[in-house]
Amino acid sequence: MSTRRKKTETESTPEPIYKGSSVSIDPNLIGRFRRIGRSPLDDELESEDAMIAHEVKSMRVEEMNMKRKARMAKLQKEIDRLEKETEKTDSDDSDIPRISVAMAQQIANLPPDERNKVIETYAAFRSIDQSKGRGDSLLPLLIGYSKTNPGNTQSDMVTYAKAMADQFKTGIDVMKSVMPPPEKASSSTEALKLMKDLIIEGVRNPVLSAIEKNQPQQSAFEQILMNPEMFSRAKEIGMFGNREPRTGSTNVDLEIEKMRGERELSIKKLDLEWRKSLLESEAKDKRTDAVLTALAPLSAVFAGPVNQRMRQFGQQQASSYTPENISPPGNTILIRCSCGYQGPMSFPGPPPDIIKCPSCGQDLVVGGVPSGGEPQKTDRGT
Amino acid sequence: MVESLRKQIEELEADVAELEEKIRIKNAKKATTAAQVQARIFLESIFAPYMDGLCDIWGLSPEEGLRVLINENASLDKIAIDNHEALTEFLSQPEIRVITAVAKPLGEVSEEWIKEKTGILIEVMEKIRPELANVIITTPGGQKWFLDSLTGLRNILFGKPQINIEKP
Repeated sequence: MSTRRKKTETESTPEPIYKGSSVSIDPNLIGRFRRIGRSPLDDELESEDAMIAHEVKSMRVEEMNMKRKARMAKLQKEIDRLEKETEKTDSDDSDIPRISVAMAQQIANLPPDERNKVIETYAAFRSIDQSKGRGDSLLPLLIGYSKTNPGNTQSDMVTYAKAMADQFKTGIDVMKSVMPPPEKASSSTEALKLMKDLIIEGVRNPVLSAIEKNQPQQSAFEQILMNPEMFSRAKEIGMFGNREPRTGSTNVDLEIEKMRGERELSIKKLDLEWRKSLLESEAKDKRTDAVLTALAPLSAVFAGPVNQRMRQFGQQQASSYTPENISPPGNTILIRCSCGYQGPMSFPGPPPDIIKCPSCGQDLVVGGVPSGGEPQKTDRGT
Repeated sequence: MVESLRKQIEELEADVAELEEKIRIKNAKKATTAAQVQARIFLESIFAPYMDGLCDIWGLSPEEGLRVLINENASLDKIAIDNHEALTEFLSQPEIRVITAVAKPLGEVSEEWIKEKTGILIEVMEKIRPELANVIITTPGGQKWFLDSLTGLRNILFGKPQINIEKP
């Protein structure tokens, strides 16, 4: 968690803004786009997953770095050890007695007493004089003295060695005054230095270079995320799906917006026209229904007369229109009643003498004359 | 916040649409009831007496006369136009003049409206004059004849201009 908090601080991510019960997450963290069918919780969980994945990746990179650093330190330590060993070899060189095999054989051929004297004297002089090579040159003289003067005491041998050492010293001083100063480094030192250089150039530097090259390179996205300046710059150019409206709309955008607006308007217009026609139709139907409703009481008032008129009208139509497959009726008479009714009436056979008016029910005499001097009933037998 | 508001608006619009549909169904039911009453008046006061008078002269039962008219494709308006004198006399009757004056808006009704009312008329006819309804339903071309007759009656009663087109 501490790592996560640290990264949040370094990326300077804005803190969530609490608005009542809802939490508003910075849209930069969730890509500033919302897909259909996704809730804000999904986006938040996804951003959290992405953050955790990024943290795990960073931790792995850090672990690899540490391993490589440890490897580097180990190699450096090895190199240092080698260098120290080289230097130690140089420094310990004076302690090793430089006795050749032939010299050792001559010492070995001496009688044991003489051999002990020679070795002890040589060791005494070597411990006294630490300068390199001075004691070594004394050994052959001591062997020669022992061979030529067998049985002498060790003090005689020491006195002889001292005298020879002084002469040797004097001779060296004379030689130093005559000869140019000898080179400080011996051939063995040179060889060790050469070896050291070879190790440094041939082993250490390539290893360091290889380690340097094997360092995990951060991807472009990681570099942007880790670098605050690059991150802010990427945000400015909309790399993280900036949802904010652009300040400068292009002509294409304007054209698209215009077309969209026109399309919406045309759809709206069609919809309104459809609604208008629907309402008009409904209004007309309502008016018609209202008329028909008004006809209901009227038809009650005029029920009898209208019924009679329709029947009479039907009879009149039947008189003028006879279907082909119907034989003409037997007898049809025209009725004229004092009530105002007038219409034909047919009978299959001869009409009766008295019939009832279809309108008022008054008895009418067939072939009679109405009260007004006109015939009440006229036989119109066909 | 905006998403929440948008969702609320969508829900409200859905509720409004549902309510409008309920109102429409209720109005349709109400209209159907009124239409049934009107259909009953038409059938009892106009159609049935006319058929009775027609069949009185022909000496046929109303069902037989109706079947003959359907088979001969003789719609009511056709017969009336053939006997123009009787039609004029009929329209000059005081009761009919009152009725046609009051019901003048019926002259503006569309073919669709008549078609819709035809269905209602047949339904009502099945209740009050089932024998006539049965003839209209079972005889081939019966319903078309009935529709043509109603349209023709609209034209001759309310003065809809006649367009005589000679059919080949």
